Amino acid sequence: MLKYMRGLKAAGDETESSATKMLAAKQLASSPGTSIAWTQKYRPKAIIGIIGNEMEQIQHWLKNWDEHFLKAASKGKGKIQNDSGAKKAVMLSGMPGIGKTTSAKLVSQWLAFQTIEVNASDIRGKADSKIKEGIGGSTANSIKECVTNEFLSANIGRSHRQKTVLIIDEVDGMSAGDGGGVADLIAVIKISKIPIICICNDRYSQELKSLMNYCLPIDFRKPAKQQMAKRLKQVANAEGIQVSEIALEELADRVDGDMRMALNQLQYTSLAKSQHLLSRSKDEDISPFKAIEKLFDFNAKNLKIDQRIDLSMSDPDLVPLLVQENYLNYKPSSASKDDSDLKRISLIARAADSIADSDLINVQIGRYQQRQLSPAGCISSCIIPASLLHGQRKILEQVCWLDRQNSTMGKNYRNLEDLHIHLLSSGGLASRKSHLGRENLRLDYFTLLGKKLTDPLRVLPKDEAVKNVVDFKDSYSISQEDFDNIVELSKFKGCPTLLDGVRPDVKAALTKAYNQGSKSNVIRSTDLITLPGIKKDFKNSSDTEDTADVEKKLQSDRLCLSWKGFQVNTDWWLEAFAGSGSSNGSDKGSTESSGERGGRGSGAAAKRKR
Amino acid sequence: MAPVMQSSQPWVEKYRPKQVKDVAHQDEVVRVLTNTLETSNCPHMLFYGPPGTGKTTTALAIAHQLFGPELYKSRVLELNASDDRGINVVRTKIKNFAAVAVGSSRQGGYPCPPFKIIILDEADSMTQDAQNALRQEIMGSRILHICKEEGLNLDSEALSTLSSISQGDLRRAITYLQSAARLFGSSISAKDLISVSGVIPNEVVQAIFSACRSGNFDLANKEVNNVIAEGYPVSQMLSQLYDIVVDADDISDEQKARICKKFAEADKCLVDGADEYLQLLNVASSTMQALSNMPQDMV
Amino acid sequence: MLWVDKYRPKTLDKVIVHQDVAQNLQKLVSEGDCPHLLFYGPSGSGKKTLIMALLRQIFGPSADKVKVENKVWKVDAGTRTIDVELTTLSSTHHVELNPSDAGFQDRYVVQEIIKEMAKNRPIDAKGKKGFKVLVLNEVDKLSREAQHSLRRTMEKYSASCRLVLCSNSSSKVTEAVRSRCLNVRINAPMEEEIVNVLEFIAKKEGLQSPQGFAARIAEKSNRNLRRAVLTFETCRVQQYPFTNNQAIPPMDWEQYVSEIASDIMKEQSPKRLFEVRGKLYELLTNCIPPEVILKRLLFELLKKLDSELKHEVSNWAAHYEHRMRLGQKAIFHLEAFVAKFMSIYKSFLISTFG
Repeated sequence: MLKYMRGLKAAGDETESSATKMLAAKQLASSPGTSIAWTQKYRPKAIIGIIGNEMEQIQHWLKNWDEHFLKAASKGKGKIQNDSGAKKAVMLSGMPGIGKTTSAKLVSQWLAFQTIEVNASDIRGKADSKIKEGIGGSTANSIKECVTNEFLSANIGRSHRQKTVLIIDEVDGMSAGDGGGVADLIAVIKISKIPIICICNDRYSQELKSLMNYCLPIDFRKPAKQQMAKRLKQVANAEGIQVSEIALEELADRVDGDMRMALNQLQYTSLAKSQHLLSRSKDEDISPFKAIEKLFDFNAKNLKIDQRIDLSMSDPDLVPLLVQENYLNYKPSSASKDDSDLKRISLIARAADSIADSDLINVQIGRYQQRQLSPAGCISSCIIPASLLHGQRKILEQVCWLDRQNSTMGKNYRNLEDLHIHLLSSGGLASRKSHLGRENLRLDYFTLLGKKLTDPLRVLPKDEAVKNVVDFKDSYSISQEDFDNIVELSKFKGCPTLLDGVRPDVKAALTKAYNQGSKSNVIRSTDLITLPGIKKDFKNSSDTEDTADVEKKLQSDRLCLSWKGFQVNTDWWLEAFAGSGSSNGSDKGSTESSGERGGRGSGAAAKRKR
Repeated sequence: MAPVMQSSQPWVEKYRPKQVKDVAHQDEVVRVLTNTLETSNCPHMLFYGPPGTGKTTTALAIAHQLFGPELYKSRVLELNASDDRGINVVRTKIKNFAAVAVGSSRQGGYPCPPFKIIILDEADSMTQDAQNALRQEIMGSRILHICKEEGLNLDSEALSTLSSISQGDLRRAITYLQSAARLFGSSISAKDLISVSGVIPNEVVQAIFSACRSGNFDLANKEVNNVIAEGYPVSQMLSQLYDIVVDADDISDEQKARICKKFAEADKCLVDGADEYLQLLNVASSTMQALSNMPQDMV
Repeated sequence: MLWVDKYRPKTLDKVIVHQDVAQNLQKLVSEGDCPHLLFYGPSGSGKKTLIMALLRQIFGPSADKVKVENKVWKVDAGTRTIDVELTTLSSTHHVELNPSDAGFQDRYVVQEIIKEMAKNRPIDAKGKKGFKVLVLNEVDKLSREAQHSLRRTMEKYSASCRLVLCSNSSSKVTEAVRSRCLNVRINAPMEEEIVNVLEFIAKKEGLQSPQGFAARIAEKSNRNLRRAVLTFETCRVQQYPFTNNQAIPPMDWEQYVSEIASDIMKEQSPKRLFEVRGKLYELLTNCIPPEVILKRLLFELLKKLDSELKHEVSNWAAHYEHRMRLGQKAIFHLEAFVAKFMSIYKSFLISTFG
């Protein structure tokens, strides 16, 4: 299937643009000049129409879902056999507007699944009349309804069931106010007989931490500027708008990969200018990069203050960050005779002060609602540094930190806290009966922990080394993830990392040993929450007997809910190839024969369940 | 009609109520005081209010009602603004008056509770020192009472230390006393009280100050590190340093002003949550610069 | 097991450092009088060790059976219900948690947990109603509101629940809370005391350490006992038998900050500042708190600076650290400090050496 699609792509832009051209033409013909949102109008109906490549992963997962999860159940085995990778749910994460929901729907349709879409923000607030005891939150309730209804209607004599996929959108909005929404979702995932696709923006956020253990993460990367620009050009052409490629690339840049926003902006701009040229003249919408250029220009001192304010406010979030990134890159015109760099450094110090001031101002604006300080913030974050340092551009290095730091930092702190909790709850740490604190853990313990975990690997013979390290890990309940995090958090540029000088075979042996005998007894208490019919139970995490009891109950519940197979419905994926003129017509037989089908085909047609 | 013989007493005096319940327009006060009279449980009282509202009257009335005319002279001491009420008077006259113990036999139908009353009229014109000393008097006797009840042993040095570290706050003094008793048992020394109160021992504060005088940055840094390592709260250190600086004779006023300005700024930073080591080091550094008359860098 | 955990004294009578405090606490317990307690002092001085030993003294060995739980409280915040999630350690007699981890919701946690504890009063061996102990960490990081609510709840439930508060500095604990507790100051151990502990451990582990080795470690540890013991073990892992001049490794981040300091002193230019910014980002991403970075950087710089500059630089360090607390983006303030230093130092070099 995939090869087939790739083959299509390889056939060149021809196919693609012809497909979309036809698509576009269709759309245009149907509704000229109406104000349907372009995001709706030009939402890809074909997998090809999506820019980016995560589709493959979703496909693969969905294709093999039946095999992993249903087959085993049908054999009546006690426990669901999971091999290490297979998860019943998948988590699509990424910035807004890059095509997650669309991908999910398209892939599902492509693989002949019916989709049920649940949006966390819609369900919230619904009347909770049907909430059963022990389950909180209306979202969870609805999901549960969806999942169980499947089985109920299956029981009511329908001999064939359609394959269904549950798509839960905006999962990260769920826990706030839904009281236990995430926990309920986890419970649902565990007993679910249908694949579940979850969609979120930030899979590293605190609320989703526990959910991530049950989901296969698929990260959507934002598309490249050129790809976006191309697509935007198609839309522009379809709408009969004249716009230059460069302008579109700048637009793509500006929206930072958010296709939805780009389309909206394009639409808005076209409406506002009633289809005039979207030119890049001085008076038009300035991109933040242009703004920086102007503020720091050699002759910028001729700019009036309101011009400067306009430039800075052209993108109030991005411009200050760009200033901070770039203020070192200029040789100030006021310090031209400065051989020793002294003047420049003192100007830089003043600029840095001003930027630090802006941080304080932003706190006032953000935390204490002092919005009247915005101009002051703008002046201190952009205008003062620029006026001190404007001059000749001398780029030191084109590295961009921006806010990437924040999300990495957040993730690292969370991982550190996980390690902290593992250390506390480990049996071997018997005398450490109280909080250590994340700070002390990182500042004091890390160096020794790192050494104890890696020095043996360099010094001792392989087997002994591995045993040594695994024993130590177990005594402190350090999981493989924790180990990786320790190595990660100890990385400093220019310094040897913890795993330097460890032979690859030793590393491999360590990983193997750890995966095999995972003796980690730490079961997070979310495991024991809210199973249908079981009361909420915040039990002690190291109590293994209780887990077994709970598992048994799980089993019996599962067996009660019987399951029927389903049949492929082939109607709607005809659309997917509208205009591509291929031979994948209406009957599955032909599609299956062309290209590699593998598991997917057998899943669709061959599998008939009881 | 024959002319009324004018008595020579001003009416104010003549018609001054002799009984608490006759005091006009002070129902609340009267109620409380009547209760006091009935239970003979008389706390120290401070009457305050605009002139002519009956403060002195009430005080006198209470005294009269408690002791009756006969005992009045021996049990009640009146001191007015016109009397000399400087600190010496407090120390001697009042002390002596208070020192004599009294019995509690009822006499002539008056309750005569076993204490004496000192009425200090127009207390606000007493000197500050006198007021403090008075406070300590009140406090001291109360503390001793508690010590007796709880079986504690407090020497005189400890008692005066207690007065000074609690800064006249009786509640605080009693809390310190209790803490010390818990930690150190029934025999409490001045040192125990200091450690319990969180007051920094004088030697430590002096050490910092001397380091500042010496002008040696590294020495001051070492002392600052010591304070932090010992766990002494820096805001407390600042207020104790402040006392030393203000009282120092060999520092000019201008220098004192510069130093104290820095204390104030540091205090504010500490309230904002700034790091204690850095702020104390900064203070020490500024003090050093002020003392050696170095030009101060304007931040 | 790491030495720092293996040799931690479990009972008050086995405490080596702070024996006087341990004895006083024993006295307190034996008299059956347990008021609210506030332990304050610098990091690594032994507060936690004393607290756990104290609990052991009061409640016996059952205080040692500690479970780790991830508790979620549903808190009624007026218009809506908030979920607050925290990790707690508890035994049958006590609960320990870190309320400042809850961020802005810390006051709810404080109120709720005390109320909860008050509801379930245990009966002690004599059939009398006993009390539970609530251990709160990092009390100095609690918000003002949390400390107020702590005070109220302390008064209300003091019969059923005793508080043991743990804090690095007593000045950030409000007066009201402090006055309701017995304040116990735990000072950092003197270097000789640290040496004693290290030698004790060496003996137990059967190690030979050369003359003065323990003293060198104690000196480098900055009177932080925890760090000294960890460093000692690191040396052991690094190389044993110990040699006379064996290098005592600093912590990984300390080493990195020291490099930054050298970088700054060697060159003061925009390029260098740019590189330093990268290194600062790395430290921050690796979870080193910004104020720790700033203090360590100052420490390294002061070691190398001439005395005239020390005043100015420490002045600026205090200034920027204060502002860093008030702001959100630590990197701006750290960078401003470095830029300022470069500017000062460069002009000093030029005026001194031309």
